[in-house]
Amino acid sequence: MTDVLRIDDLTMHLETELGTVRAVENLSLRVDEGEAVALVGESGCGKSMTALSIMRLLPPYARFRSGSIRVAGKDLVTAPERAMRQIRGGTIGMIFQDPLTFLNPLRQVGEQIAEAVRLHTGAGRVEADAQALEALRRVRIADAENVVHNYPHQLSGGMRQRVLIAIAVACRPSLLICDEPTTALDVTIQAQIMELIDNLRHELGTAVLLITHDLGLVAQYCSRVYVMYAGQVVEDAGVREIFQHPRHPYTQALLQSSLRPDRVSEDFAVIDGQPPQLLAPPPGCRFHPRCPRVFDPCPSAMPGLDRAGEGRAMVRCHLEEAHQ
Amino acid sequence: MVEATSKANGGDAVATDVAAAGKARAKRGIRFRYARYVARRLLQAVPIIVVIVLINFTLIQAAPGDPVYALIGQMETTPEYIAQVREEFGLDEPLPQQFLSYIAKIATFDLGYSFRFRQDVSGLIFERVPATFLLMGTALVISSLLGIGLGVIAGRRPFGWTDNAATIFALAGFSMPVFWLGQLVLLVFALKLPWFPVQGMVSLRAPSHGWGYIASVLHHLVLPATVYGIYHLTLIFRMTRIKMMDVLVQDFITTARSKGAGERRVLFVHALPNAILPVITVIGYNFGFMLAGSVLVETVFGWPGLGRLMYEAINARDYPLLLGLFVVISLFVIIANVLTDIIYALIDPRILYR
Amino acid sequence: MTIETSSFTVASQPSGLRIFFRNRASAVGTAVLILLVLLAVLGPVLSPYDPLSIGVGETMAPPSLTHIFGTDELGRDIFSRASLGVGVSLFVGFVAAAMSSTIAILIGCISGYFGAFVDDVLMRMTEIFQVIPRFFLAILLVAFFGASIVNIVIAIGLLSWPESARVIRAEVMSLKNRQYVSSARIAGASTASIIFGEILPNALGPVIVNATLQVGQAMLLEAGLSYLGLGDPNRISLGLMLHQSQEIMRTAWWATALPGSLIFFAVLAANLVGDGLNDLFNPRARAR
Repeated sequence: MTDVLRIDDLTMHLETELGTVRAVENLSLRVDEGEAVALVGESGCGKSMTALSIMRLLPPYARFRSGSIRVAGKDLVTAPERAMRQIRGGTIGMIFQDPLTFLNPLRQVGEQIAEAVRLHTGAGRVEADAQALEALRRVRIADAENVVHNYPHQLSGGMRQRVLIAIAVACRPSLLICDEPTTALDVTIQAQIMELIDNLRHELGTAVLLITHDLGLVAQYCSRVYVMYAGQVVEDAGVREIFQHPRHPYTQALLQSSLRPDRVSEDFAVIDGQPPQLLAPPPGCRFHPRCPRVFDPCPSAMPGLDRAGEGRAMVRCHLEEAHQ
Repeated sequence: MVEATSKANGGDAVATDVAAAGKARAKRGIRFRYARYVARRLLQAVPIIVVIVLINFTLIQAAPGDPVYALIGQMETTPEYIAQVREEFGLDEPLPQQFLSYIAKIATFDLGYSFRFRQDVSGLIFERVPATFLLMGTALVISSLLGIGLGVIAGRRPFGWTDNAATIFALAGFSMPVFWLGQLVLLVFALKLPWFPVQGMVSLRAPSHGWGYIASVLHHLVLPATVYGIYHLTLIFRMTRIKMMDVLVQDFITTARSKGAGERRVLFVHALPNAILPVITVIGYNFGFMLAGSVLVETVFGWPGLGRLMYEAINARDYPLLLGLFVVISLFVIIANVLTDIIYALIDPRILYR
Repeated sequence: MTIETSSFTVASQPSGLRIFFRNRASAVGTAVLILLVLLAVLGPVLSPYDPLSIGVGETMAPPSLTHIFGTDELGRDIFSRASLGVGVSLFVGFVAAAMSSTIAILIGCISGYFGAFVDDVLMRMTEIFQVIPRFFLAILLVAFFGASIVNIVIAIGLLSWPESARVIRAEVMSLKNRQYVSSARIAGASTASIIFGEILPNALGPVIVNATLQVGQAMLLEAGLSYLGLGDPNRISLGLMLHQSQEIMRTAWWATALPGSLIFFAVLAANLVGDGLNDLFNPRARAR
């Protein structure tokens, strides 16, 4: 199978007034054609920054330090801005957390979808409008003929998220990045939106990179998982493997907290200790100050991301190294 | 597969019709809301007009001395004229009565008589309106275009060197008494370098109509319009810059970029319309402030508009003319406010649904 | 103290005074204001000439070592007059700003705290006041009641409160349901002490910013009124000097240039300080 996205050893820093924020460090990630992959972690662990790196929508003070992001034969780290514009919305579509603030309040829904079409296909106004209508139907909006002329504020949260999805898939991208797509929505709507994304994946053959903190969604919709902690991937495994046999202590803690639905929260407050400061990350293993199984090498040496067990799982932990 | 395609095509044809119907329905709904909105805005203006008249009336009554002098001004007149004014405004009647007849007079645009100019106040004022509007209009067009343009450039890269330079320039403009700037410009470009005329709107030797007349007016317009323009430029620039900074970090800008929109498209199609609304509001709501600037600029350049008239009225202590000017200027300001809200709703229909 | 931000935590926050003075502009503004106050206080003492007496030098003498700002058409020393004028302008600016801020605080607090009917009435009133062309109303007030410094201050102070009142109202509304306010209420504190003791101190940031910016605006308004011939003829203000220099502008540019630049620097300094304070109280404007 060919990959639609391949990130190798990516390091991206934010040079702020307060110092260097190590948002993404030595991150490698692959998404194959038509596949659904999850990127999981606490808020602030760098998973959204990874998504924005792929789209090159980073703040001006962001700097790529190493690595490559390969999409459709191009390296997005070095691609010229003009090529990036073709990628954004053309090859890769992206949807975001809060569907209200991500829509332009002053323009009709139809115009906002048609704009994406016109930017990528050179279609005329009429043709683009027709495609916008079709895109709305594709995201299962009943009454699409009226909704095209609505303004975002006239729509419900779920509808707005559908519109954002319509914008993202209007040009049939080969990859759809979903950054916490259901966090801001009601539980019932969440399921509908996830079903929709899953259906679109099958219909259009679009691969999905789902960025989330909700392991429930991951189990239901994805085939592979990357667990991210403090800007690094700490575990990379198939869904079944991760749920049945989580190896990294952080993954184990995540799973435990998600088994207690009464205590699930966006920042996994159930795991002891403060989330790490990306401004001055702890030496050695980033997780060691919070790790229940910390031992000698942890505070001084950074573990590598290595193959563990018989499966194809990769884990960044000294415990695994000790086993071998 | 073939069947599905043909079905889809047939569906599209139907869809176009349905879409047209939907559009029509949406339009009708919005028109109705719009009419209701405009009507409501107009109604809201009524109490303000009453307050303005009440202020005038209170001033006449509360000013030191006999109210009749507030209706005549500090002028040498005859006892007969004083008696006539007293009679006309019913000054011997009880206050509520006086107020009602004062409202009635203003409602019919009877703003009294200027003894100094020997003319009706309303006629005197409306003669001067075109000159002020010419000056304000010219300055406003120039300053809006420049101010918004500069604001977009500066707001795009906050704290870059263009932004810093423009910000310092704007802060200086904002802190300068507009009439003093006028005096300086006059000193340099009309007195030291005789490039532009010193005073007035048209030179005495110019023909009274045709291109020669227009050329002379334009020549006279340059300096006052520039000074007045700089004054607004700073306001519009500051507002545009701040709003662009606000808008450019908003989420829907990220969406626009993630669609593949280029930098210019993001700035002018997505960011600017959202940033410009408050700027329009500032321009519209500051109409009174702008007219205040025009009094000062017109005074410096001897531009024969409302402002110059106000200056003459002040120095002659021509009270009826001052009161009349206040009423007319207030009316302009109220109209400008209502118009601003109407334009706002045209750009941002969300307001119609509140 | 740790402050949680979206992607990382920050150990400590620089102190307010440091932020204020790190901003070079506000430091310069403060320095200029201090210099101007010194000029107003010491100028009349230091200058060998009486600002009011005629013929202390030649008429319309350009700036020189004896008369550093030159003299006017009656041979009066412009430096002595201008240093008096700075004092009058600053006085008008500060007193009028204090007055309008007081009104704004009262109306904003009452409106924001009580809400409902009181709020409706006060806000309608505020809106009406915002629409009325205030410069013109100030002209009318001064023209009708006489051009004295007190009337000018009152006219300016009475007319420039609405914007601040709205800001304060919004601030009070957002603060009044905070926990510490509720607990003061439950503890039985009086309404006045809740408003002025618990809420106002926390809403003071925007009040101070607005008041500072209004000092500049008030000085500009006073200059404008004086220029139009509505200045107090018994108090030399910078605006009045500009009004008087109108006639001799062609020959004596210094009579216009120097008082004008003093107004400019005073207003600029007030605006710089205001902007610096705004950065201090409103960290959003401080970008990243």
